[in-house]
Amino acid sequence: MARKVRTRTVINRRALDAVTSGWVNGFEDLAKFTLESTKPPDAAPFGEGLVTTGDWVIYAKGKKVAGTGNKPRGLKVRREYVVMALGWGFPGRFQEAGTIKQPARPFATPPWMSMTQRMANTLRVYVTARLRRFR
Amino acid sequence: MSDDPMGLIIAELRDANIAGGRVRGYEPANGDARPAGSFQRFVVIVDLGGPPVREVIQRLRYVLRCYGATPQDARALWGDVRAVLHLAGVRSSGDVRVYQTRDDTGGSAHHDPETKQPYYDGVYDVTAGFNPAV
Repeated sequence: MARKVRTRTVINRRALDAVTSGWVNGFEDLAKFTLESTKPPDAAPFGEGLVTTGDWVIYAKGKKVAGTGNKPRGLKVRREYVVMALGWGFPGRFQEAGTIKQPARPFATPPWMSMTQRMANTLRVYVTARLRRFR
Repeated sequence: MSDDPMGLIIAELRDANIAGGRVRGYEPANGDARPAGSFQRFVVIVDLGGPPVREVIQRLRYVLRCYGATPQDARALWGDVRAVLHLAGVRSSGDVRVYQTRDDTGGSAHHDPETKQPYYDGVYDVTAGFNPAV
């Protein structure tokens, strides 16, 4: 079940400038596209019942502005960047890359690569739409 | 014709005597994985896929899992592999040409969930295509 977007996240997002907001909209679209086009294998022996859903989160100006996920421990958030993190539960690593006993079933890389190909175009569309309001 | 560069990369690592030649594609071979106390070095390469850049050039992502006897040994093995592959430049074998192999993510330490053997893994970005000389 998807978690709710917190009020604080909505308030943070309203405080963004037009260009950053366009970036966030673009990244949000890309994150949703990637998650929708991913079918994590719910397979034994590792990951059964655990890797069925993914989650994402976007930070801008150092604050969470979109998504329902939590910040990964290793993610560095800086004020000058828009940062997106997208991932699945821990056993997803074993599904994606395999283990000694379990063959790899890459489910994340193909949609991720597809997403990076359309990234520039998607961001351009959203940022242009935001800036058009100022003409 | 085949344009799968994995064979070329495995041959390169074996020529460099990485893990005593125990470099495998997709899955370990029989006897590579041993019980705790007798762990040995081996490397497993898995193709995660990737889109074609142009008609004859593709950009693939390979995850390399470097298993060692200890976490430090796995880290050292990862370093040995990196010394061979990272930014190694253009090379060809048969009808395959590899334009570049690049350590894209750096490595990170883990344990196999079943055997508990320590390993170090990371993703390489491989740009490859057909060898025009063939």
